[in-house]
Amino acid sequence: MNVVETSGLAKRYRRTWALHDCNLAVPAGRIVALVGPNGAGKTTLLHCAVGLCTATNGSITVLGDLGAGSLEALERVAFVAQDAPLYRYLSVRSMVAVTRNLNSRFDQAQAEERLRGLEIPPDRKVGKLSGGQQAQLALTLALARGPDLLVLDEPLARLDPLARHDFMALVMAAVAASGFSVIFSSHVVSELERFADYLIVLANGRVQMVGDIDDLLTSHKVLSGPAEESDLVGEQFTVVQTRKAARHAELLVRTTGESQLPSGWESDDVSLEELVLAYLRDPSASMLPGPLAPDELEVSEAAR
Amino acid sequence: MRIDKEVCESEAPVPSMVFRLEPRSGVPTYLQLVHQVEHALRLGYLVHGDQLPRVKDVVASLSINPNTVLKAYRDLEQKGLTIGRPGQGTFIAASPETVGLEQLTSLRRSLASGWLKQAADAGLDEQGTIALFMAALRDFRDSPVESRPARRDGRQRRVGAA
Amino acid sequence: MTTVAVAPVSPRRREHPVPWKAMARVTWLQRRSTLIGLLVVFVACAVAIVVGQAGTHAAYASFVASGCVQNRFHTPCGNFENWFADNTDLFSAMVIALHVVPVVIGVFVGAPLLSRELESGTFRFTWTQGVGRSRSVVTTLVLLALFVTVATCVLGLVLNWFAHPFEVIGIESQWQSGLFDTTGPMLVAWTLFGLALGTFLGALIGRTVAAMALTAAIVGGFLVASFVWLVARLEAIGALATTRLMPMGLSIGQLNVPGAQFNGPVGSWLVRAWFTGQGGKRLSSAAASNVIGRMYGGPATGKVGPLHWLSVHHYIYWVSYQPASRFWIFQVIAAAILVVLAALLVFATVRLVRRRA
Repeated sequence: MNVVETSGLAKRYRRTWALHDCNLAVPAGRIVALVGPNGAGKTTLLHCAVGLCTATNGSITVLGDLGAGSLEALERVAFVAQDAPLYRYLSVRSMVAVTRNLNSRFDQAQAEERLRGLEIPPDRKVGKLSGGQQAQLALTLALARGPDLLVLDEPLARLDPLARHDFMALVMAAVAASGFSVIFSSHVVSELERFADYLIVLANGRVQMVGDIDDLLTSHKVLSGPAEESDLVGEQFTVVQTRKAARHAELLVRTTGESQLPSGWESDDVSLEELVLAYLRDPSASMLPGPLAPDELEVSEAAR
Repeated sequence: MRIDKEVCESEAPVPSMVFRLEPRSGVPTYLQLVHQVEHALRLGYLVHGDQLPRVKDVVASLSINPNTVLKAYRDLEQKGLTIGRPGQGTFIAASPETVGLEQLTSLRRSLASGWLKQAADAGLDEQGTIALFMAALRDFRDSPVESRPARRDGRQRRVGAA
Repeated sequence: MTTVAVAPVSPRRREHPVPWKAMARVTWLQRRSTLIGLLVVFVACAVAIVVGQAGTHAAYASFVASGCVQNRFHTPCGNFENWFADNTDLFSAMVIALHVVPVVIGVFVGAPLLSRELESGTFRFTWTQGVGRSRSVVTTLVLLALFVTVATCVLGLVLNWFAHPFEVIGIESQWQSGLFDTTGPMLVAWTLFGLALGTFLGALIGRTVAAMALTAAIVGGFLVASFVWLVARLEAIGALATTRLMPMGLSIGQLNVPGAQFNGPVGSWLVRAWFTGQGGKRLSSAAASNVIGRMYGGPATGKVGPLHWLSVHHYIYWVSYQPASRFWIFQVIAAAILVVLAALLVFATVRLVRRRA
């Protein structure tokens, strides 16, 4: 099952297009990182997935074939928007009660236990909690709904390092216990590998790179060798980024790993951060949805 | 450290293992976990029958993707170091040759006073020493005399290694 | 293999019943302070009326006991009438206060309902919960509408009860625009209209203060227009004509006075008055004033004189009026118009909410 699937998804606000022709097929059971610079369209994409905005063109479905924003999808998808909006004038206890009453599925005991563990006092007004505590509360409420998909819009942006750690630890522990899918957006690339196993890179409203992080890392290499041979060598591969010095050049290439390197050339692994930055720097570089999605693979196997 | 068989409900059991991550080391996370378990086994901090911490406890303390922990545990199981019992957890199954603390200390001393001193006298700096050592280690591993099973390394084999 | 075709039951309705109780709890939790504040205000108004009318009801009891209802021209009745005429302050104050109620509800309950969510960004939380945005908006509105309906109904009835003596004596009339709008179903209708308009503007503008201001202006404006002109215009429709009233103390043209005050039937409402002359032709206002002047200027003895003079000169004095029995028809029509407007506004609001993407 694809937890999020888009086909030609495009979204326009008045005159500007926030998203252009996005095609995604995100498999279920992953922790997906959606990265890109500010203004890339990450929030728009997430809002389309949770039904807060409707596509101008194309389609988007979640959890298989549910329309994004349909009542069935709303039941099973939990969302924490940027800045974790909550009713500030309510007490924590009332906020939990509101959430419980707005959903047919809600684990009150789990929510209370988590809040106790987080030491968030139930009688305090939400507005009086720290930023980190508010984010934790919003997350606790989302998790208590028992979602099949958890969507987080820049959850760590305004949190201090300790709050960040605690927040993601809560998410990871919940996934370990219940096995749902997660999509979170971030404009910080470092430390992504720790949490995510699937990556979507968005820039200027277009999908530049998408795929399993393991696959992405094995299919890209940095080749280094003499500068004068770099053009020739580069023709054998899909080059994402070239960096030249006087006598020495480095090529970041996409490769299946089967071709032989000429002598004098070395190949090295590339880090995720390096890879993402390279793609972001070159708007024309885009990674086609790489290895077949599991269901497609089955279909093509069966067809043989 | 052994885990007590009877643990009070109100007390959290003492974990058999604490993990540490070095995010910038270049070594994939799951491999770091694997190495740490192997290291602990070698030093005798983990013994046959110990239960490795539950996935969700590792995840909660380290704040990492659960799949990473699962991958590490699978890796250990494939190497025969652990065995997973459904519904119960992952347990240490083998006791590889533990290199005792004494032996480690004497190996370290002999390396420092022997080979390292020679390399320094030859004029090699730190980086040069490391590079040379790694190359020699690789040679040692690849040599046909090596009877140990080839380990799957986190890094890909170099394309067209010279 | 045979298959039996079964008409599928709409699964959506089966699986997603509207959670009224749950939404009631949510609405209460979210609007606690506002609702309590309103309740306090309503109770204060009601208490003010109940306490303040103690004097008037005592006086009314004496009025009735003296047989003044049947015959107004007993000696003590005039004193009672004067007393009532002098003690309308509290009454007028309550009428004004009740005019403010629809504005208050529109501004403090309707306008912030959606605008606060939009302004603070909490709609990104609320509209992604399992209940869905349309259902949460509609159920909240319905629940609030129920609350204000009951509260204003009670208030309107209390004012009605307060006004009754004044109406019998003829100093006030339920037909008067002030009372027309604040008693019976009209107060409820105005309040529902205010609530719906406030909510609509809140959804449209998305800014709480602006929505509140605009709601106050529009609802207040409508109420003022109603008070000054609309009610009178409505009541003039289809008025019956009679010649049986005497032009005593009455002028020509728009009257808008209770019939009881001028020897007409209790509870009726006088709309217009005019003269017709020879041949049934309606006299102009100037000519009519002339007639009145001559009517009372000549050698007359009491009321008989001027009337005799009129008939001799073939002038007929006409008055158009609404009988008491028609009052409720007008109330229902006016209330229906407002409720339909309110319903349209609610549809528009839901549509706005649905399409906000």
